Amino acid sequence: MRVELQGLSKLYGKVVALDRVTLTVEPGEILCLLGPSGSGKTTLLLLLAGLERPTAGEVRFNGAVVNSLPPRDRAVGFLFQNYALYPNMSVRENIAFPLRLKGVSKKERERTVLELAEMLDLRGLLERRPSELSGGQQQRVALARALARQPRLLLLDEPLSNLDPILRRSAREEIRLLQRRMGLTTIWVTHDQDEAMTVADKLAVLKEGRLVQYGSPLDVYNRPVDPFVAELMGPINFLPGSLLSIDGSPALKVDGWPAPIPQWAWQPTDGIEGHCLVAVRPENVRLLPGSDARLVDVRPSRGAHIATYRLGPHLIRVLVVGKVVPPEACLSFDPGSLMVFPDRS
Amino acid sequence: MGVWRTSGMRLMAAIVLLLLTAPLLLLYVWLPISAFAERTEGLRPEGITFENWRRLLEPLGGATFLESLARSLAFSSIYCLVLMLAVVPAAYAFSRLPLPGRRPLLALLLMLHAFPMVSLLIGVYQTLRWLGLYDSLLGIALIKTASEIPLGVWVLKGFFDRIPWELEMAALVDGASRWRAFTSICLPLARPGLLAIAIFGFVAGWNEFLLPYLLLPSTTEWTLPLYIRSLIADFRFVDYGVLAAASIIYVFPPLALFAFGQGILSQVYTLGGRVQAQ
Amino acid sequence: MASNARSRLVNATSRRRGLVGHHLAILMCSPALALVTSFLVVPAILTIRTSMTDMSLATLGSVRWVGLENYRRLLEQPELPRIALNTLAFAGVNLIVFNIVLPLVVIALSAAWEECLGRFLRPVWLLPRVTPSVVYSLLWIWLTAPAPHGTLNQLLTPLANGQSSWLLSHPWPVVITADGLIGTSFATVLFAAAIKAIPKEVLQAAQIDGASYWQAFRHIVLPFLRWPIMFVAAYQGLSLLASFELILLLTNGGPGLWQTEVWSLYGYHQAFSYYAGGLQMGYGAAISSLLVGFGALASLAILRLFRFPQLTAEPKLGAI
Repeated sequence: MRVELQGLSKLYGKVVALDRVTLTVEPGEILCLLGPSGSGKTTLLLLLAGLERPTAGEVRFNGAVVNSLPPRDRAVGFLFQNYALYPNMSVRENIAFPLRLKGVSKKERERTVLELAEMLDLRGLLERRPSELSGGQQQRVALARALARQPRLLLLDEPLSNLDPILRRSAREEIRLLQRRMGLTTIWVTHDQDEAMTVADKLAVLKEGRLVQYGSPLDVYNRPVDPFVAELMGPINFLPGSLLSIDGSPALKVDGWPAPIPQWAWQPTDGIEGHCLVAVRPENVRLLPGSDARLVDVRPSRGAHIATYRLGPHLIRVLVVGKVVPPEACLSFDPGSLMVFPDRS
Repeated sequence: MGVWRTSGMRLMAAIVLLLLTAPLLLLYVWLPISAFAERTEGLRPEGITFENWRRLLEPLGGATFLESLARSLAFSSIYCLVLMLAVVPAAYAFSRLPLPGRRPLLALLLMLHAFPMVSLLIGVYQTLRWLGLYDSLLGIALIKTASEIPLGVWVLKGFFDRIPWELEMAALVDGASRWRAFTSICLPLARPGLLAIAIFGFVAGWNEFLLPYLLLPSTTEWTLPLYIRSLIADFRFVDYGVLAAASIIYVFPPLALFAFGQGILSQVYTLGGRVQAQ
Repeated sequence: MASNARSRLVNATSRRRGLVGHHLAILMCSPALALVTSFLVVPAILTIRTSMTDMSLATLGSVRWVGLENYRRLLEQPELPRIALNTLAFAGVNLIVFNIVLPLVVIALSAAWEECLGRFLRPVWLLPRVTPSVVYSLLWIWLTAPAPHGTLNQLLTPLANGQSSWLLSHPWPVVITADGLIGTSFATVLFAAAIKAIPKEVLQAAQIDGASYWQAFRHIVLPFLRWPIMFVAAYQGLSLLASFELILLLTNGGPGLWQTEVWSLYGYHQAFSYYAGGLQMGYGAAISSLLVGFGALASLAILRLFRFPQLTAEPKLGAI
């Protein structure tokens, strides 16, 4: 099912939770909603589920406006952040609940429950109560319940944030495989950009209710629309710089590098003049023999190291692969990885 | 709070406590003693006997103990039922539904609690007469329900307030109507509150003396407290033994119910218990 | 355009279903609201209306409207100050001694004996609340009866000559104590529950900081009890001003003239008692109306005091 949001806004009294959000999710796609807390991610899910009504704008399912359609008629599956399993029912009854509401026959219900239990590795837990389950098990039950009514849209509200870190990776994979198999249009809210990068077909960045950027994960990562998004997507270094014109051609003078750089990979808008902000990711900084920069700090990070070097007044983080982290080095980077932003300070 | 344990202090605390509790014990311990004695001097029984219990079964000018007992039982049960039927849906509506005029209605309910039924007796009397419910237990049940509704709704609302919203949201997304979410999810989770209201209701109905006394002129509809009162008010010799025996039977159900519901009821006093979210 | 028409149709259909929330709410409230209106609001209005007539045994059938005559007459009664004082004194002493101080004392003391004594004491202290008033008053009558029957007199015989009923010689202490213990029952449970909610760590921190038992009680526990105490003061205070059941059963306002008469009892006597002068319902209604009016004003003030709007946040899912 295709989902379209057109100018969607939601106000709670005077508080703007969502501000004219417009985007489209194609059938079978996973859209990740990324953003800090309070950015409106959960509000968006509530509007999609019909649990809240928009103040302005439209929500369309397959072209039809569904603004006032109540939740029970939307065929949506919702995985709540704390799972919201019914404490007074067993796992079996939890999963079967949507089917009972639909009026499905007992035999059908049994069959579906067993199928889902099989799919999500819940066999043997069917008679337990939610309070007797571990976090990971609860999450799978909640997912089973969301899938029970064969939804056209799956809404996941930070499905992994309450799991142990060890469990997170495997759970993430399982959900993604499941989604692919079923071809379910999915909207996945997270504040973990690693997760978003791995899982998403499309990424939408929200900040204070506004849609800041929307595109493929690689796009958002390599061509962020402003420093906020750049930083959200991963560790990044910001350096002051200025745009000059040398012999009629634009050049970038980065603070701390003597030579101006004639080209760079990305700037969000044309017409940046004068002072600007230059950004480069740690993995795109090279270490050459030299002593311009001095090592200040080293932290291990996933089989490599994040080393912080001081170059003049600036601290620059570098991803160093391998065991050796030189105490002094000369820093260089491939212009093809530089981003230039207007200086808003 | 039991972290301080100097034994001198503990001993003193125990002594003071027992001194404070002594009057209560003196008060109540008379009851069983008197019920099994011909007469008592203070707490000293004279003549152990079972006569009192036998005499309890003798009719007393139109009313009998057993009939009044049965009537009290019926009255309390019906009263409890009517109270629940009125309070439970209202408490849920106030707690979870978009009720028009919600805030002024809640304020009204709180204020009404300050209207004691006895002060409104004159108006109540006129209303009952107009409805043809004067001199009937049904009328009394209805007015008593009205006077207990404000507190009942507030307390039960507290219980419903504590149910996490996600549970109801999940039910709605699963396809439930609001009514279905109420019956399948919220009611089961509010069970302690429901039980507490039921116990309070039954005991309140059982203990109710004033309203029947004031509004039930005929002897044929007597509940137990009226019967017991007549044993005192009668201008013949007061048979304290029989009185004590009747009182023991009368006191027993509320005591038993409260003992049974102890833990749940203390939750009521904190205006609702906590509900596990998962 | 076709899609516009279709979306308008979808909107129209769901709008009809979308009002279920409001409708359901009204439906679910209706039994309660109907009962409360018929048997609280309407009687209140009727009582006030009656207070402005001269309804009594003598005038049945030809009741006249007399405006504020009953109120004027009430204010001229010589016994009125006495009755008002009785009411305030009864409520005040009862509230402070038995509804606040005594429960706090009992709780403070029993905390040290939580397990064994506590389990025994708690049911005992619960008794007055649970006992039917008829039986409760009987127990007190017996407790305070003259020797050789009355328990107290019998126990004290070696010390004093206990010839008279305490209820006759000292009606007020007995009445206040008897009624007070019922309030103590209620307040103890409330305070105990509030104390149980205090996080254990806070008390542990106090211990480490060197606080003694009473210091901890004063500086840590009491602040936690601020709300319950205020609630008890408001709720019980209002109830006590109008309370009369136990007084009716114990002394019926006596033993002397107006000795233990409180406001609500006075109203009842005037309206329903023959010997007070012929069932003066109009006059009695005036007395009751003043009490009800005072109660209403007091509850409004209390609602303001308890920051009412905070208690009644709008529910979510308002759109469904």
